Amino acid sequence: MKIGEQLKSINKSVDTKNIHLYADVSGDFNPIHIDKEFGEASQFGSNIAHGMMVASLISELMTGNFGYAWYSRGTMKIRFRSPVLPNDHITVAGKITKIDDSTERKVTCSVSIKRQNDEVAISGTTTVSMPLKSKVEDS
Amino acid sequence: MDYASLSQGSKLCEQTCHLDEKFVLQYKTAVQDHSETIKDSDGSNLVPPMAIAAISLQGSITELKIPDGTLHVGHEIEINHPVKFGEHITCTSNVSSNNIRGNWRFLGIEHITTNHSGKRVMTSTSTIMLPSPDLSDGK
Repeated sequence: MKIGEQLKSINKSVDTKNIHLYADVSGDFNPIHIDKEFGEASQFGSNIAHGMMVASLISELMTGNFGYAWYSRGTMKIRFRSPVLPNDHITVAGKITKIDDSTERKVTCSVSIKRQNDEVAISGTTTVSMPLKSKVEDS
Repeated sequence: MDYASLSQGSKLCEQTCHLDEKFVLQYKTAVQDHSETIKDSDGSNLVPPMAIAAISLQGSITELKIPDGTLHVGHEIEINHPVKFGEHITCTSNVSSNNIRGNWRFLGIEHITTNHSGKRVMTSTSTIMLPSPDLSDGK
């Protein structure tokens, strides 16, 4: 693990079915997500995916790279910069920007989610803390 | 809902949720998370952090009766402790900020989530952007 190292990225497609499933799970039935006519009349011209649904991919990225440590001592600070639309193909990427071993190992990463046209949908920073000398569990 | 009356520290809601295996599977299906389940040191299956974040938002979404077209613009999460399948969690949501910029009201909501023994498992803050404050305030 070193500064500048790229995290193993994730690619996914977002579809209407998943957006509706996420509405059921989260209880967020805002028509901007699930009402076709409302979405088409909105400033986006379409329904958009829930921001937290898309952001879950950052958590999946961190889980894939840091395992249990992410589930126990992680932080995430993100901005939703542009919407993800149904049928978008998105890429979740991250890079290690800082490693602080002063009291424990705290790894800081810059993370982003980009649409197929390279537009940034979400950007932000994550950290994950773990005891020094411990190996990251891949569980 | 008179959004203008929501001052910093106003309590919005408190809700208890059961994070059973069915809920976790529904969440993972919705977000297309096909990764293996992370386990605790005792072998217990752990709930993905963003599933906890999603359900922590649920109460405030309902309580606020957010107007159509509301957008989620930012989110901060601090994972404090892992949560096992089958645990009950309690989420308390409070207003952390309430500002108007242009024709939008920016509302910050802090969610403090604890497990059955009162231990904090997650702290998060969501920032949402409500359209047309004048209409939203019912004026």
